[in-house]
Amino acid sequence: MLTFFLASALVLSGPSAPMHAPDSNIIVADDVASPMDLRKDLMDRLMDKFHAMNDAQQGFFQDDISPIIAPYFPPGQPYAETQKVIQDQKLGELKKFEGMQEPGSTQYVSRFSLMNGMFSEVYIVLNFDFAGQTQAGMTVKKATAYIRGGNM
Amino acid sequence: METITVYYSPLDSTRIVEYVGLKIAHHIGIIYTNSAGQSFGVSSGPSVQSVQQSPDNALHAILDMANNKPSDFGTLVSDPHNNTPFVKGRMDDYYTQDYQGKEFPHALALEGKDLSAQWAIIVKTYAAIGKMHLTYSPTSQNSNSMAGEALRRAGIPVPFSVNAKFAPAEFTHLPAYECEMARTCPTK
Repeated sequence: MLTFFLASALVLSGPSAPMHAPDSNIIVADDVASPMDLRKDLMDRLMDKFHAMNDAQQGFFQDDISPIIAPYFPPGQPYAETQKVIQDQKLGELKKFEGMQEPGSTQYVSRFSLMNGMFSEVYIVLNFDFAGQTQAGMTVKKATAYIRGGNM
Repeated sequence: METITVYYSPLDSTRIVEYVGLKIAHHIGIIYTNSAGQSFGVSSGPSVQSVQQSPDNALHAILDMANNKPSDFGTLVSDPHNNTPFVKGRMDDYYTQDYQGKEFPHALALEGKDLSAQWAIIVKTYAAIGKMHLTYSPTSQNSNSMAGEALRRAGIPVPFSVNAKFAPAEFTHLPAYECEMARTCPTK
């Protein structure tokens, strides 16, 4: 089920894909897209973005990359499913966001590195607005993501 | 009251320097909060995030400074989002907090009724230095140098208090205009 969902989500994550739940007409067999394939696909997209920014020599500060990530986390996705995608795809660890809260949402974040240098780093931050208060009943309202750079 | 505050974001990858007796290195961002409670930030960094980083290319970057040519890290560029209003503490605030929303260490640089003139100088200095294509050198000419230069030009001392953190090269002086680089600026 999860593989089906992820595969469908990836098919929809192209440039013109709308950011909503996977289209039920798209059917990908479980054995076609393994979690490793999906991770590779995601990392390829992120590294493409990384290299494009590097080539443009604009620096890495904060850029919105939600269209790349959001299809993995469609609205209505239960918290447990979100957590499983993050674990399976090695996208960090879900942690409660401790900053300013959006009214009516429970906010979680995750972070993982794209590039770790001796003097700088480039990483991805995933932001989740969940509807509901408890992990058992929460569902994704909105997923956003940023590519950020750290340097001296 | 208005404030100009220096925020220090820790760079985890420099934890190794702790083993040689230094503290973890930080990146300086400068934040202005006006009397209406609106916040604005400035930041800068290398134009290139070289995947291969080593003491060797850091050393070469210092040598590249002599000819002002781009190092393996490129040139020192300003954040294109500089001086865009933001709300402190929100998820998209990357100036004053980490990804989890935990506030970075910070030091108050100036407090006063109206700091808009000082802030304008800081923003202008970031924009001017960012156009100079100066060599980026992680240890000697970096974003902290730009922060230090902007503060000094605005007449604000670089914080050097118990709240200040280790920010390499914050006292490096930078030219903001071609005539300063060529030392041909008319004297006042």
